[in-house]
Amino acid sequence: MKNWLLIIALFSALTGTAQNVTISGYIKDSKSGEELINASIVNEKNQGAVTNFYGFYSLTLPAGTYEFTVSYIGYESIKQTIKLTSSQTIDFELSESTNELMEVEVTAKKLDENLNKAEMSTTQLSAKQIKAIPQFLGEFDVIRSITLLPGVTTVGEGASGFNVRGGKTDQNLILLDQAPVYNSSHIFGFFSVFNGDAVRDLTLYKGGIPAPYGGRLSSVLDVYQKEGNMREYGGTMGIGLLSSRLMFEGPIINDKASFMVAGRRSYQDLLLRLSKNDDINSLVANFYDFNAKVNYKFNDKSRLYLSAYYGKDAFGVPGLVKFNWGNLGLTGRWNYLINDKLFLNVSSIYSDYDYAIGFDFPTVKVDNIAYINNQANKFAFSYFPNTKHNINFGGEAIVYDFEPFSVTADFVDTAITDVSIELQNEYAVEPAVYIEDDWKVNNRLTIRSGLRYSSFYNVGARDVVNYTPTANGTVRNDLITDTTSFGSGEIIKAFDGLQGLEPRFGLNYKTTENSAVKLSYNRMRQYIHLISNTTSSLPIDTWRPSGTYIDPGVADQVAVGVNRNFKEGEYQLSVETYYKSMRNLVDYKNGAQPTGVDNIEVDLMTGRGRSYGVEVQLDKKIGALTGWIAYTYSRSQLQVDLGATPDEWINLGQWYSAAQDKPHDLAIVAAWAAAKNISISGSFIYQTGKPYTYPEARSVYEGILYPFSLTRNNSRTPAYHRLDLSMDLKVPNKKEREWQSSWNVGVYNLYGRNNAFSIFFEEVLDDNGNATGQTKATQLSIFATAIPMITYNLEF
Amino acid sequence: MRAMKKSFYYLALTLAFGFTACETDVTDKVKTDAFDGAAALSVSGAITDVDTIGTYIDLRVSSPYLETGADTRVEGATIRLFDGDSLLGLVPEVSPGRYEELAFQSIWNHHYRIEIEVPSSYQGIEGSWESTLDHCNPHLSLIAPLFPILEEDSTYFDFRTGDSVYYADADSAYYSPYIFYLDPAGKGNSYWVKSYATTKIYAPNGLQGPFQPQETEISPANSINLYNDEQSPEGPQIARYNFLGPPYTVYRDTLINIVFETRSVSEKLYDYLTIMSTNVNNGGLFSVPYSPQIGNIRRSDDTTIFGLGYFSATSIRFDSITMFHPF
Repeated sequence: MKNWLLIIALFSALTGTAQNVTISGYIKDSKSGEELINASIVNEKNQGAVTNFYGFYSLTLPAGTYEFTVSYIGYESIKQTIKLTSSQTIDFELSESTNELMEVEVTAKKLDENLNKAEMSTTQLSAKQIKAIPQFLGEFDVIRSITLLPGVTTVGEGASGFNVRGGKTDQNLILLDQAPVYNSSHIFGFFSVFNGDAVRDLTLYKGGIPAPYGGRLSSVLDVYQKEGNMREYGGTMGIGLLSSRLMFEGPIINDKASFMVAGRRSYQDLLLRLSKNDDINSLVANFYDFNAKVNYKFNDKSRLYLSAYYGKDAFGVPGLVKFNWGNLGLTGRWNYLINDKLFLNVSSIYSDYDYAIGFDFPTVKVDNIAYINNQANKFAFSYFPNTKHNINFGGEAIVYDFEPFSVTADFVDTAITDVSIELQNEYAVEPAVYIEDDWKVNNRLTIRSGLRYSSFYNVGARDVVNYTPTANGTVRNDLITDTTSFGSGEIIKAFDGLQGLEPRFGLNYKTTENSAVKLSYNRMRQYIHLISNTTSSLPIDTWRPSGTYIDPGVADQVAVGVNRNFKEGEYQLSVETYYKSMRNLVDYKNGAQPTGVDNIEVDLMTGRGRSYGVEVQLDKKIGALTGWIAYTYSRSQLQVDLGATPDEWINLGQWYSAAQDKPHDLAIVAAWAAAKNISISGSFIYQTGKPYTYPEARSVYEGILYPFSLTRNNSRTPAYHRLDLSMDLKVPNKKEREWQSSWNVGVYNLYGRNNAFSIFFEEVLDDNGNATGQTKATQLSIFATAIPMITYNLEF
Repeated sequence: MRAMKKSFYYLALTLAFGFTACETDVTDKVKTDAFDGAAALSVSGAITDVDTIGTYIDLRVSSPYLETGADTRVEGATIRLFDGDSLLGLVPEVSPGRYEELAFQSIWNHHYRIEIEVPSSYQGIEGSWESTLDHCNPHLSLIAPLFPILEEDSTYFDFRTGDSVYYADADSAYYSPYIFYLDPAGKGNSYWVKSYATTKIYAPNGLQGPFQPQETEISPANSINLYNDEQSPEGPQIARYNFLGPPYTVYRDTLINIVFETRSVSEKLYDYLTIMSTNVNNGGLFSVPYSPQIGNIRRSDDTTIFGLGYFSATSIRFDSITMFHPF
């Protein structure tokens, strides 16, 4: 390792030229000392650099005197003239804009970063921006916030996850301090696992996904936790109707080490205890989570970060059922500045998602568990050879362990043998390497080109069933012939070779001072799949790897866009169109119930997918009134024609709407700093209803009146729309106290829209429960009324 | 698993947000927006190995789902029954739209199919239809249990008086019946408890009699109880029938008698009924989405045009059990 670093260092030194000097360092928040991601430093010749994920920048220029502008959205820009005669390290500190009404005037630099970067289809939101969006039940919700962006749609109230550009929820790579999060929600999707107080910022990649990321087809949501204030102690807390939260941060050693801890707990069950009904007041229903992070600077070149997340949901009816599930994420990262042009990050990550459910029946106690965990090691270099190139390269290896289903039935009657059914664990290794170059060809043209190579090995120990081969490749239980046993570590199925290449490309051409044209292409591969065939995701949905009978999903996406800024970047217009082609997508055979099935392939079918659309977003970035209007027209369709005969295909082999196909999507988000202590925000969302299967006919089979349909997803629920409002009232701080309190009041679903979660069909029963021969359609709604909220917040 | 999902649904909605969730009848609204498929032939029938049932087929014309009128029966059709490629004969119409022949009975491991000629008066569905071959699976056989039980009507269900009986109080007890059976060799064996009836019998002297039958509860048709090799690996099995549900409570002066009909079903019919089960019991937040359900009926000259329903080959068992207070 050491020799290798020396070679790289030598290489980087050789690429420099004698007359060039390098200015490098970190750009930080002046109050907390925390590094800022994607902050920019630019000279008067428009030569510049952007900080990486660790706030580091490096800029190599000919020796001379330059006036540098250092800026970051939401912060006051600074200008500084520096005479560069030799390479030097300079850290910059920016102050957060304190008077949002005056933000236009204190922002000295034009906001035009969006016109200079090759990346597209990307949104970065800071904690401050997330908090400006109306809250839901007093929580700053990361997931709910991003569903207001173009191309991102909500699955629905009471459902986990989100859909990006027509992709399924399991096609989103969700990272918290680099640790994958396999279930991003609490309480069946009503809250996200991200504590808004612990989040520093997030970046969502919908397309043009950079080469360092891989493993999912549709998007990457990269969330970073706060690092902890290096200079003073402080924190925030909030007390809401259903949950409360606390975050505390501060220095361990000033400007050398800091910490951040945060926690949340909901207390539905505490409220339920007020009920006089014994069936209600004994129920268990809560979630909690805990975030922690420490970092330590060994010196100016070396720094260590340790971060952790742990969250659990618990539900239970004493004496009947107990159920809990949650995520654990542990990340250790070490940054090392090899020289002023070469930056190294090494990470070791452990991530786990598990659930446990138990039933206490009079005759038997049943316990069921399942989990997915992975251990990943990564190394990533950022290399800044000159002002034109920024090269990122690195590699990673992820080791997976899947426990899909394990159930034990312990009979009270000792004469009956206890039952233990444990599906076999599955194991897999996913190595990948990548390299990517951001090349600033000239002041107008920027090109990002990258290549990722990934592979996947499904390994033993495991017994794999074999099937009688069929011409069309279908597998069924009645075709099972025998099993093949694989030893521990033995490769069951390898996905490697040239098929693992994932090219990435992005281009930005600045057509005028205020406009740019963008183009991107990416190929993504996905090796693990979330197995679920329910209207809404369940915590018991399990992840399964690609293997002998399940191929990795592959997606190719091309996007073209135009960006135009108005009024020095105060207004930014973005128009993007994309086309995404996918193959080896997992879908379910009609009526499949795949939970607890070892040879899961008998319930699955694979097919093709396509999604395309146009996204328009108009942002108002600064001023007393900020926000955006986003409109998306998109389609997402699937085709599954694997099967012996057309009746085994889905929709007779024709293209059909995916569950997330919602052509029209409009979001309006506004935050208004009405006065010094009052800010008001609102959001409105409109989406075409989601597809569902309408029965085309009915008949009777063996006395059963049943609905009949040949085609899947042939109709739509009514349109979804909702208006949320919230107002933040800061309590005047007359005594110059070191804490600031505020009240946040608001209403979710202001006009009480009765949005459909699903529509289902059933036979009408009479008062005695007897069939009547009549049929009806019923709409299920989750929030059919306005939901008020109030939260007391304290910042200290 | 279904019980687990129902529990999640219950918990999610009632504990957390049940106070806001609601269900609305949108029949009229959906009816306005919906498109209905063209009328199609609907078949419901089977060839059985029971001499009092034989072969039966009901022919109907499908109707729009939300329509309230009675189904139209198809009269005057010609139905030919085949054992593989061998014609067994015509199935005569015994009442409007109902075709029966007691002489045609299924044999284990044979395949059966029908051909249907619909008269030209039924526009849109007139002409030739057929079913694909359906396999008559052997039925399970009951075996003697490995530990003492009380036997009733030559079937082997667990009514033990030992620690499998739970006493609510001195006058009542709970039973959880189990079945002991041998799954036939090979994969693909599936069973359908097509119906069951539970009768409470007043018996003040217990098994000594007299017996006075009280109310009888008949299982609703849409209570589709299925199981197959996935739940019951090949070989001797001990299983509790799913449909029996929670433990039965019996009192000193009351017996409970259950009579049920179990059919062997082919792999394809099992899939068909599985989908039907999720479709007719659809609607929960965490239920399997409603999905298309295609049986084995299609046009003879274009096998991509499907009818509704299924013609099956089956073997049937009738069993009964009686539960009583042990003391």
